[in-house]
Amino acid sequence: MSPPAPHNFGPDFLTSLFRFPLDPGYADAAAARDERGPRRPGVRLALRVTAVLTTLAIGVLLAVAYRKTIEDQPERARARAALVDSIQRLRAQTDEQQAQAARLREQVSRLRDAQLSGSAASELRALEMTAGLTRVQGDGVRIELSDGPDAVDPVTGNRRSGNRVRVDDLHILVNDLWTVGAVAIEVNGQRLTAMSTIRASGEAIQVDAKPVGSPYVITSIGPSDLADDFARTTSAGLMRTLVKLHGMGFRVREVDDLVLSAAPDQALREARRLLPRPTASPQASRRPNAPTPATEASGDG
Amino acid sequence: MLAFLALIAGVVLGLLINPEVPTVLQPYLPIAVVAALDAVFGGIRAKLDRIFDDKQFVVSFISNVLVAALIVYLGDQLGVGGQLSTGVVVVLGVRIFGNVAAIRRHLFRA
Repeated sequence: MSPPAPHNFGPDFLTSLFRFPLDPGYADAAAARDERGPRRPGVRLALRVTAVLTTLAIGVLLAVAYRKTIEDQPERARARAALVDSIQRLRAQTDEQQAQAARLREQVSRLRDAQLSGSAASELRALEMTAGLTRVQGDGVRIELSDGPDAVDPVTGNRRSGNRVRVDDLHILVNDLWTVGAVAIEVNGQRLTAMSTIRASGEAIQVDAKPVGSPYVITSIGPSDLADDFARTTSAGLMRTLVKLHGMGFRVREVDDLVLSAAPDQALREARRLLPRPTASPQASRRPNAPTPATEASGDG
Repeated sequence: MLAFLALIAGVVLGLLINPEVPTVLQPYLPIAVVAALDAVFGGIRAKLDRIFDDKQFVVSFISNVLVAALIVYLGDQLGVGGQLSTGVVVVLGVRIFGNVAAIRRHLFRA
């Protein structure tokens, strides 16, 4: 091996690093040995022992680094497992709280029924049914509506979705059902209320911001002549035309003993204070059933 | 041969006693490993070149580890620790590669 002449650490440092990767000290030491002869035996032995101890230390270092890396691994896995755990725990907690909310709501309505007189209670129940807040059971109509086959352009091979059910179709169907006297309507298992939305979002159709897809099953409960009345509506006629023109699926069946679930919790949109503004402490407003007339809250939130 | 046995013994010893690394030193462990590997492969190559020197081996290992750790420490203090560690790994890695190539030429004549 040709010793790298002068070790300059100038711009050539990288070049010399690539060409002479060995520590130049070895060459220097060899040159010195050639010049002055070998070291004294005692010094040589001491150096040899030191070198062996250094090698031992290197071995320990490698082992420790290996152990450390292995130990770090489960730490990461543990962190992940802990996160998964906490997600699941929180989910279970949410479920439990939702169930508790449902139980409490039921309790509230029972207590309210007990408080109210018979006519008031039945009026309230009717209102709740119309508002979609309660489960409804009864005879009605099930309409099944499904996309027609996608047309494939013979030239480009692109699929055209012109035969699919559009959001307008659902709109007119649902509106006509309300018109002919339906008291409760569900689209793919989602109960509609007066505040519900059926919107198109790109190609997807969303009912109350939850996506629904073909086949669309519209279930409704209403008077006994609901199916006949519905068959005479414009939307039913339009659907029959669409079936002929676009190959959509459209079927209306009378079904007995339908059960429509309550609509999911609606956010509170408007509230009115039943008590006069509290004068002494906030606790005052918590008095239940105070026999005071309803008063508008005056802007203090 | 003796050195090789010592290396094996060191690994076994390290696995057996499993010394606790102080938290302060833990960031320097990877750099120290690379520096140690550089010293080991340099030593093997020097041995094959018949210019191995015990003193040079010891000094090169210790100085490698210390300089590498110092550079990383300084980098950490100045906010460029990651980049300087990369630099250290690149320089030592190039040396390891070159020395391993030389060892290969020695052993296989290719």
